[in-house]
Amino acid sequence: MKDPWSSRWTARRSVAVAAGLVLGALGLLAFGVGVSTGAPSTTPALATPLATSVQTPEGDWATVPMGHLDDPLNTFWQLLFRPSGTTLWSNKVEAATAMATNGGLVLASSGADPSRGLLVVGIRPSVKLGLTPIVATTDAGVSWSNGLLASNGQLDLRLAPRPDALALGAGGRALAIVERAKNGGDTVLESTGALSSWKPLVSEDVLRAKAAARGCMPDALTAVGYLGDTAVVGASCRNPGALGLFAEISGRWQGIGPRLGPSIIDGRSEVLALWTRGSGLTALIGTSRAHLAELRTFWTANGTTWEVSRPLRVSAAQHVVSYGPTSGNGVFVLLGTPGGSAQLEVINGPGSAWAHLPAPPARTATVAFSPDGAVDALAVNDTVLTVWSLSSSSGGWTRSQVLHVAIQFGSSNP
Amino acid sequence: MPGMGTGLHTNNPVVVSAFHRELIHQGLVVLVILGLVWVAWRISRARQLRLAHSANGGPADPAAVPADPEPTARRLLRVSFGITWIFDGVLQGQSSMPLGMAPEVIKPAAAASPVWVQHLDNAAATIWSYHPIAAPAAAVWIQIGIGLWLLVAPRGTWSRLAGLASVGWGLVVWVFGEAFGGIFAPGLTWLFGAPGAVLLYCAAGALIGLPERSWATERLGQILARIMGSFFIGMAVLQAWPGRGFWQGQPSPQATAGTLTSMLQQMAQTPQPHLLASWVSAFAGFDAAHGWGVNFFVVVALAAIGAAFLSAQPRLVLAGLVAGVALCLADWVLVEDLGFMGGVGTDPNSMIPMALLLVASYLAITRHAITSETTAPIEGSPRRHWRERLRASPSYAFRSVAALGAVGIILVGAAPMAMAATDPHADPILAQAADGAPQATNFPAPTFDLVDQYGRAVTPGSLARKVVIVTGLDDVCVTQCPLIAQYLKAADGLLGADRRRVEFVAIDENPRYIAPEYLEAFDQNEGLEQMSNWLYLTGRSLSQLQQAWRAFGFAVQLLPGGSMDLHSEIAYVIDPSWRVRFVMNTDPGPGTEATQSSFSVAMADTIRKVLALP
Repeated sequence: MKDPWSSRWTARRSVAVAAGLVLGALGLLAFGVGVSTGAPSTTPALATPLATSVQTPEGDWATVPMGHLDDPLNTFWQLLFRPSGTTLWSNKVEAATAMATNGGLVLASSGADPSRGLLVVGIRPSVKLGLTPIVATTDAGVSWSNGLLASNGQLDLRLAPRPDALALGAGGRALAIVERAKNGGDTVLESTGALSSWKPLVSEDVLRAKAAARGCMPDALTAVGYLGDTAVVGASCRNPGALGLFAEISGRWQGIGPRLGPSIIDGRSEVLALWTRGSGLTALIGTSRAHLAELRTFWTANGTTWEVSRPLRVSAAQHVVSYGPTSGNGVFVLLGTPGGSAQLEVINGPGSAWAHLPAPPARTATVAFSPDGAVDALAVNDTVLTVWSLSSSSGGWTRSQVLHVAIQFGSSNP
Repeated sequence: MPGMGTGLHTNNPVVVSAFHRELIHQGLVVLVILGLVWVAWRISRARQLRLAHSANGGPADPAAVPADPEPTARRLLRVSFGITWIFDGVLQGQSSMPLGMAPEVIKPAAAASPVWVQHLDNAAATIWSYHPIAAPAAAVWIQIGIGLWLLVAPRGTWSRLAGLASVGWGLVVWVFGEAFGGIFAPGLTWLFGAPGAVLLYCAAGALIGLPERSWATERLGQILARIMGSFFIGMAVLQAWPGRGFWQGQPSPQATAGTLTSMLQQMAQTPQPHLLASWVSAFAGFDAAHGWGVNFFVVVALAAIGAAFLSAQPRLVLAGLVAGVALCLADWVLVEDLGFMGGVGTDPNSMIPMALLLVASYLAITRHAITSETTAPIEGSPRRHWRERLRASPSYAFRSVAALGAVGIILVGAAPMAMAATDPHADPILAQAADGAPQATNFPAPTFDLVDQYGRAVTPGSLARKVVIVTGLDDVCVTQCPLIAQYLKAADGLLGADRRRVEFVAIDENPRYIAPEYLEAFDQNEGLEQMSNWLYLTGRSLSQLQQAWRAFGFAVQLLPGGSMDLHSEIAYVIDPSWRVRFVMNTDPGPGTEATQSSFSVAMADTIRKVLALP
């Protein structure tokens, strides 16, 4: 019988064991050294932040995130209001929402038209809640009515996290984008009056099929608006060089909008916002290529002829902080850098160019342009909101108000 | 009140007290076992003496006592690892173990490992989290039992079985508690304990489990030395590999700290005696300043020690041993920070077992005490039947009885743990720790006149002949209420057939969203619409709802700054005669799966108590 502890047996096996262990160590080495960090992306970020401002005849509304912005459970969105003809902002969030706002607020207004003063606020679901209450006011936030984003018996729909996911039209009509369902894409719902009565209008899948000829291949629905009485849906396009603007014309969903110029034909486009202006429409379109992002404003009065602004370039070091409508046909875009510096660009309407306003103070979350010409920058530092007003005389920003918001940190933590 | 923080601290007094109670109860059982061991040993000894006197008037058969001593290396491993297992068992008895082990030890250990390792370890973390009393108590007694078994059984089958038990439990701990010692995670290094302290326990256990003839010559020692040598060389290669952060210190406070410096800085923050913290901090500072030099020294030292052991030559192995033990001790103090500080330390980490294995391999080469002459009679002698040996040999009788006692101690922990592991529901102690025990009471329940989520009128009269649980829920609450809803649903599931006699009722606790559509939406979001005995009530008007709040003592208050509203979290368990028999706090605490399950069990248990009332 072989002695398992004989010298030869032991020597062979000990060498084999030793070799195995070295190989094992090298194998572990592969695990140990196999982690690398990717290089930072240089593609400009066309973010779609919810912070924005809108106008109503009663005054300006704005929404900004406050609290610990690096912690979603301790970031609480505020609803701010400045009545027309005044300079002071107040916080209406407590009276308006009566619920946690960690998911963000989406604003839609009927514009500054004095005959239709309506503000609608979608309160996005967050944490473990999956439904979307909607509140509305017609009297500057004195009283609020409320509804629910629900359709076809499905009551727990989630409003898309886009600043232009809600839109108001004439006669109390409203549009809303709800997030991608389990077995499909985003869907646009329409309400014809009551804010709890919504019906599906069109889905991403339907648009994808209809839009195939235009080559957009939408991969998300990004904005809604009205062109007169016609619902318009904006999308981001999977295919480069195409524009994702769609309207239901004569019962059929069709692509609308101008052809993109040769300079952006190889870039991907996304409709960032749609604003109804009287019977016309203003669109903010973002395009991005490898190292370049650009923003353009499109205007149309009737949907057939379009005017396109010159591009506003967003460098790789910048990100979009906020955008929104100014009074009239204008649009503002607030850009930021990781270093904290801000850049405010405004375009006033067809035929005008992007104008560079004085850089707003650090931590500016959004800017509000009042019909009376006042421009306020709303800067957020934890629980403190500082309002900076653009002085028409000095051309600089002056601090006009400091608002301390009593945030209940930890109140949304499990 | 929601969000006001009722997370379970690792030293939660309710859990700690229950854990200590369990240890005391099981300790009493252990004392009984030890008593039985003593009685059995006395009976056995008395029989031996009686037999010996009746046979020849002298003491027990001296030939039954083995003439050969246990090999030194084996004895070293057996005794030292026996003591270490006992020490580890004692560490498992720390107050922080029940609630701290899963989140602070098991999950962090697996965090950097591949997903399949995390899944594996999550299973263990779940069992531990669900059974925070049974699991740590089991670990205490299993480890103390293995340690005692190793100590009391120096020779023979019992001793080898103790080694194998050590391997078995060690592998369980290594896989589920240490995430394979982190060998699948990046940053693997000998300095931090690779390949896992418990794997070294397994190695020692395997050596103890070898047949005794394996120790007869220097061969086993040579094999062990070569294995250790290969391991050290492999670790040196790993340590030297560029790009892993070990060649880097931290030249300036703004610079990114190297891997070792970063680890040392963390270790210095561990709660520990000031002297030790200052040593670790000082070494962290030294490594920050001389990161390259420290790593160069470590690489050279590991390689040199490895080469010495790989040679298997006694003199070189001795030199390697001295260097290896010194390096191990230095690493144990300055890098591993003794391993067991901080409240959830489970063992003294890898360096002490590593040093013991180094010493054992040297001793196995140089002190293979059983010579061919001394082994011959054992190998050649006919094996005696165990009954005969039990009668004749006092030492055999003692180690058999003592080993049986040690196995009994292991079972004291393992048996309840095995039963708990098969129970998919968490221990209700977690709910009690978060919210206190349900308060027994007996007073008339308030009445109400409300509508349910479908607009139907509901009054106490419509709930006759049922046990009713009335609670409050904010229909747009983002955290607590969905959690409470889930555990009410789970409690309903636990009731089985009894659920037909139970109605779960929630009253809306939000002053704005009072329309039934919100309640129905909440139900849909939480999957409550499938519960046939679930009613979510609201008022036809806010004032009607507020009347119900007042009747039940529900406080509802809007909070500023975009917070959810503040509302009571309380449940009344009402008997069929509409009297409140228990009041329960429904704050779901940290909202983990374990606490959710625990709340469900506590709720179902309370409902059953009311169902059982006359």
